[in-house]
Amino acid sequence: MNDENCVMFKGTKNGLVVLLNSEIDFDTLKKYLKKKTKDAKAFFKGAKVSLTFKGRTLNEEEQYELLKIISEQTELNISYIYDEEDSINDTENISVNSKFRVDKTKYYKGTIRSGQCIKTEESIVIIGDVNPGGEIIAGGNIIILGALKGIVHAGSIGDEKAFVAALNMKPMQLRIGSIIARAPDNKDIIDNSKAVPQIAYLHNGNIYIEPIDYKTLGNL
Amino acid sequence: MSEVIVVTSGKGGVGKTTTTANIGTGLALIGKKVALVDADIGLRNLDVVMGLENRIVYDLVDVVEGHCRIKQALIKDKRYPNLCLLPAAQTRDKNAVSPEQMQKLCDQLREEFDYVIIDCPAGIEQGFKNAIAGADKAIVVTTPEVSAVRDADRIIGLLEASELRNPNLILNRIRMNMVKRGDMMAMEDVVDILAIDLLGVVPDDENIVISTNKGEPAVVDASSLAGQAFRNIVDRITGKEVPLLNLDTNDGFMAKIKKLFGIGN
Repeated sequence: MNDENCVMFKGTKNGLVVLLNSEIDFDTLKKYLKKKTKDAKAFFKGAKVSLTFKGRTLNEEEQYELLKIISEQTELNISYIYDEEDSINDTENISVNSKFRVDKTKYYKGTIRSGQCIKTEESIVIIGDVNPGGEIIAGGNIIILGALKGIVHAGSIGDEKAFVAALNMKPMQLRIGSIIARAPDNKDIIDNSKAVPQIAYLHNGNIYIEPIDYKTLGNL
Repeated sequence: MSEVIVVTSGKGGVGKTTTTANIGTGLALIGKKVALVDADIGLRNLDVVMGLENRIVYDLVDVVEGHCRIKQALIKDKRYPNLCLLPAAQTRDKNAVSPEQMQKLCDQLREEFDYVIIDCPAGIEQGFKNAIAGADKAIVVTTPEVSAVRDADRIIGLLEASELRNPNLILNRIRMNMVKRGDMMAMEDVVDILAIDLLGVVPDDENIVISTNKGEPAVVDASSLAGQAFRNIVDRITGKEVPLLNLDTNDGFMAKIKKLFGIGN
């Protein structure tokens, strides 16, 4: 085994990656790291980086020890220890972790007027209003960046986890999966004062409409 | 550059014909050459509103079927030398004309006139398709009623589908005292739903009924508030920027005094 390759530094767009050999024991690894950082002292001088370890699973104690060596040996200013798994650039991971299916989404800009109908098997984002008499039927989620005053059907192919979100939620009729909800007949109880963004979702066979906030999104 | 404008609404009885007559006459009054075309075949009204009923010899169907030349069918309005009317046939129906024929007709009129204003029939069927076929621009007329606004919304969608984008809106027959009481949709509510540019607001005015019955468009009447609204609309069509008419005529005496001194409001 080439000693030099037991510890390696690699720069990426996210920061500095420290590649560690997983076969040698930890004490030897520390020794190599000490040597390597000492050699590269001038190179690291005063740099401010975020850093991650790769190639070897470390427990917290081990990670701390390695960081201690690096900070003792160099003048490297470590701003952030990041975990490659968490990287926000990694969209693949988000889709795996998400409870919602992340599928293809269509975008439509403009007003959906009375008599107009948009049908898609995917999710859809409407940038504009859905006027009374307008209809949107989507296999996935429906997000309306505007006022919803028409008819929407999310999860039309039977996806009960689909949701409908709108900046101003006043639908004539709202369907999710096979459940249908409609606006109350008594128009007086509809609060016209101030529209807040709301989200409609299905829970135990009932459609709930709630303001979009930290709590609601957490429950989804 | 001549322009073919269709006046449409979807719903009947909101004031398409009155609007057509007033806009046409208003444009003629400021010196433009105007042709009014009644596309409401079988239910013609524009000739009545214009007071030209008893001068009809040939009509639109005669022209498209080649029974007469277009010049023969055009009725010159003696009161306004720049204004002509092409009346609709009363004994036929909407299927007597095809969109292609209307397009050809509009192109012929375009050569002669500065503005060609088409009065569209109510509905979204053949008559509507004929009326919009040759138009470059559309004016959607609505009243502040939920049903009229709903139909206007549908019409705007159909106009956009027919490549007549960015139609303008005329909000007709608004009653400010009812709006203030909260019993009528406000101008802002209608514009909010329809999301198109507002060309003008016309107040509900008794003078309109009187002038329609007399066959003299209200736009000629200097004392009529609705007439003033139409004159402003005409100015906006020709590209002038005119502020919206202040429709608050029911101010009390004190309010007027206050306004005079620039306080209140």
